[in-house]
Amino acid sequence: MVSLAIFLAIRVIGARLRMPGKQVWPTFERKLSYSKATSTRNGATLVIFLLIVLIPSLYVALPAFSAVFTPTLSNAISGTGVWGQYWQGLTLSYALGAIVTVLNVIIGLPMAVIVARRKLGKMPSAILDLLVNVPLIVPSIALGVSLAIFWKQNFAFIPEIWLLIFAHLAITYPYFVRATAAAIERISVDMEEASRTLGAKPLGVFRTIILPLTKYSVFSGAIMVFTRSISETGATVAVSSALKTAPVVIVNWVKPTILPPPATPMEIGLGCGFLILFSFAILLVLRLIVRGKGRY
Amino acid sequence: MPDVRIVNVTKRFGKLVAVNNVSLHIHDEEYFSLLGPSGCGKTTLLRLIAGLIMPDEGEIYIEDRLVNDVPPEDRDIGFVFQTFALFPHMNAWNNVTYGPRVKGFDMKKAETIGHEVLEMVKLHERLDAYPSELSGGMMQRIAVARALAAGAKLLLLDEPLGQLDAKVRNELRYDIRKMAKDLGLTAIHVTHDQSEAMAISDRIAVMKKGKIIQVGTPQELYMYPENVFVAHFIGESNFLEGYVSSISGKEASVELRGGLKIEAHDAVAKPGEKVILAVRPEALMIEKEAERNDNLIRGSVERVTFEGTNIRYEIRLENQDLIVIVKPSMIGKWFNMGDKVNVGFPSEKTHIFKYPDEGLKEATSSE
Repeated sequence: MVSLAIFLAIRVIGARLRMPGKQVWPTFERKLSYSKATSTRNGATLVIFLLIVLIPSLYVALPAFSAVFTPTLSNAISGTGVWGQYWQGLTLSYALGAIVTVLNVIIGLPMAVIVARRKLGKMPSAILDLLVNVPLIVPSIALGVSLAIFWKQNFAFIPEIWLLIFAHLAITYPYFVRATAAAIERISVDMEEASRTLGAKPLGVFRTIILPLTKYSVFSGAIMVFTRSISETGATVAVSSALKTAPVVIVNWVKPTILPPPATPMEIGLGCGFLILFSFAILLVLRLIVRGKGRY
Repeated sequence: MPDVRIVNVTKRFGKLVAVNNVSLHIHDEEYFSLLGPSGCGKTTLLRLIAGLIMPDEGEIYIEDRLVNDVPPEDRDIGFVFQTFALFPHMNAWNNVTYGPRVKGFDMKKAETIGHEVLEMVKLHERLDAYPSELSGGMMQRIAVARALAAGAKLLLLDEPLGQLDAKVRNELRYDIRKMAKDLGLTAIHVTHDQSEAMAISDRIAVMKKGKIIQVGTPQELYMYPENVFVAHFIGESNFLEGYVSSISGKEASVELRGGLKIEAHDAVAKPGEKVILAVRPEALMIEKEAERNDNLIRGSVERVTFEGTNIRYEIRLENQDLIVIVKPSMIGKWFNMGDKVNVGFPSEKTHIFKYPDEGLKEATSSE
């Protein structure tokens, strides 16, 4: 509730805030705009990105390179030992990501239209717009616990795989709706109205106008959902005890509940490396498909 | 082709009454304009006819069919937007044939119609161009072609020339009218540009603050405005305040400031009533020496502006009222600043209006 209130306050106050841009410092701004200053700034930006973001993020996978020269790699490929569970987890992660992505497109698109076009009226749509962000505000583990209690208490017959799907759906939902609603808002209402005056029914307007004009944003939203679902750990742990996605497997390797630890540092590094490599490859392919398109 | 009847229609947006109890009848095959300042409700009225918004009160009939609950896609209309509203992901050909395709026309018929309308708007060689590759004038032609290709019987145009430069506007307005007439369509054209409305309309409805002020042909509105707003909004008028001193048949004698008297054409004034005298700048006569003694006021030329076709004189009358006279520059003699002149008021072209309760400034305001 506190997070929601803060979020609401930011949305309301932020819209009213004026940028303090009346003051001008021409000499200072001119100096900062010279090529030397911009080169320095760009260089510093890249260095900070590498040191604070990229290298620490990939550091765990560094041992993976040395695994190439050891039996660890062949064990990994053959699925021996801990790797059986790893590959199962990875398969589950990608399958879950794909299912959640498709479901998000189906249920998220209508919500994006409602929010973007204020179909329920100005105030209700604004409230809905805010509530869509709830999963962003709530920590994923808390969300997972809440979902687990809700579904298990009221619908105990639901298999765990569905609980996992619902949890991932809830967590990734705002990513898709936000991206798609923003794209729909950019489409002039005139175009939808023109389409209707030309004889198209509302569903026809959606199919022939909205969807083609937003398909690359829909695609980008779907990519965000997919990658977010792949990386989700907290809610997965809370919701399911039997089913383990790849990140959960790796967390268990890193912070084992039993000793000795099930995996060596090299195996942990290789496991992370595989996850990063496969996810990066998928992302690259998807990004190449949407590259440079959809700008009308 | 349809006529359109609007019966006591009102539309509110919160506290704002955008269209206030409007009734109108637009005839078959008529080219009709809704003219008025920004915010007067003309676009709202057009969108009500299109079915893009619903009236709060009243009825709208298209070809004697009540259409209040009929969605836009079932009203057989073509709508041309000020912003063109071309679909950016479709080329000109696909934009134009969109209507026939979504209505389920067979492909051959859709193609035939597409070619016909593109020929009509003279853009047959730009079939493959996308909207971003077209000029403003071309985009609007495609928008018109698209509206026509859908088989519309009623063409609705919402300030279709608003975003175009003057030269293109002047050409395209006649082209649009010609297309509508050639196809026998009923057209309703919204504009705030009175010269545009006057040039192409069979009839015009002047609107202000959600109400229809006067409906008539361009000639009727210009020559016989029924109130100060129309007299001011359409063309230019000189306004002089005064009181009716006597009435004789259809003529009234009006006493202006300083005791000056002018005879004017009157419809409704009563003796002693405060009125406004309105006369067009080009209707006034300006003479150095008085050739007759009635309906003349002496004055002096305060400013002369050469406008090419016309010369514009600002005259300070002897009662200190300021008026404007416009004369063709190639006919008659010119006057200079400081010249003493006599201004003649032809009584048949000088109108009397009741003094507006809200004051002249408010009554002639476009806000």
